[in-house]
Amino acid sequence: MFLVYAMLATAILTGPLAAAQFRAGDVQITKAWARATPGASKSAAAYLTLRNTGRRIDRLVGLTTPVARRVAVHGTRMQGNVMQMYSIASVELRPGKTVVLRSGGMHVMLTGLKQILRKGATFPLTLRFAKAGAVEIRVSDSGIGAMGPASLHGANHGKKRC
Amino acid sequence: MSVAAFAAGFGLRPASEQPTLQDGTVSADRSSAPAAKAVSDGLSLGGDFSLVDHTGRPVTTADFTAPHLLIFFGYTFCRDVCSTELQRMNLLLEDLGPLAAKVQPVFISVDPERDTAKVLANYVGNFHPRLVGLTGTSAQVRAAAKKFGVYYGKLVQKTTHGEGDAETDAEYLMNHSSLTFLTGTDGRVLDIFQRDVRPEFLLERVRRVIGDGKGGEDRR
Repeated sequence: MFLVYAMLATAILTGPLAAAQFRAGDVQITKAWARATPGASKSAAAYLTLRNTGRRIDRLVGLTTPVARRVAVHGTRMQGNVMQMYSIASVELRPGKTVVLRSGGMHVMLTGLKQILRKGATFPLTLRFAKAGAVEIRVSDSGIGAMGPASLHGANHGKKRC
Repeated sequence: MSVAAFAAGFGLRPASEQPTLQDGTVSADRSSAPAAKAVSDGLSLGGDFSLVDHTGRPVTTADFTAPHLLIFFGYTFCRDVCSTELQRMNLLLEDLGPLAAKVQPVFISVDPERDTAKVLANYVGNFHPRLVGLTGTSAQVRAAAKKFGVYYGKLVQKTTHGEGDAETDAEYLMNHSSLTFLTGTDGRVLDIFQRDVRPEFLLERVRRVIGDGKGGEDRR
């Protein structure tokens, strides 16, 4: 009987109900999500959370994906009430620290989009770290005006208030 | 109208001096209250504009029948804040319930080069069903933005992928004011909301302006 429970527990923890987690060396990547794009859109924004569980500084130095020709990390800065975006060459990950790419802050910008991102679908994104190496993660598509990743309990009705 | 005076009154300061948002205002003297007061004191912001809607039809403020417009200036290539601002507008209208009929949601593009009526039509359909997208010639957009004191500009980025081409040249980002304006039926601004105000704050303030109807009439 215990074996059944153990198998059930494993299935639950590694199945679709588990929050998607990826790892490259000491870097943990979670909550990777993107907004769905309107048809014929050439750009998309994606977000993720990076945690450096190791003892050395690392950096996210490159991103590639088959669904877009160009991927970059952008930052957002407010100059009074004017919003400015700028390119970020690499994202520093200090030991023990978590860096969250979120709406209104740093985000992944995909341009030269080759396909429509549909809510509920996922797409592969390869992250390259200076020390931890590369890892391919899967990014989940939420609604077009979503404020966060789709909840595990069903569709994100856009009611998230962040 | 002195936009500079208005801007100074609104407390525009470099980002490094901004304290974190807590209850919907950046700090007491940077809330929308000074703006609303400036407006009621006789400062005129906003007003009539002449643009083209997402069906390709020319429109002016007179063409909107609702007593209030809720306007956000942005561009569709921006996949971060502009989408969330329009979603916030959508949620606000839902929360307003029957009062929502008094408010016309409007998205004005500061990127008429890329945001044609067709592109806007494809975009606005993803948000509130009554959301109207507006674009026009560069001159029309410039005139409308100027009336609202909205700043916008292209950010020229060096491409890191070797030679620039038509495709990457069309991938410019834009800097722009990220304020949402609540106006009367004539387009004159009645209240202004910064990007990060909490939904509860936004709802309460909008209700106050449109709910009892007094705010709008006194300020004509």
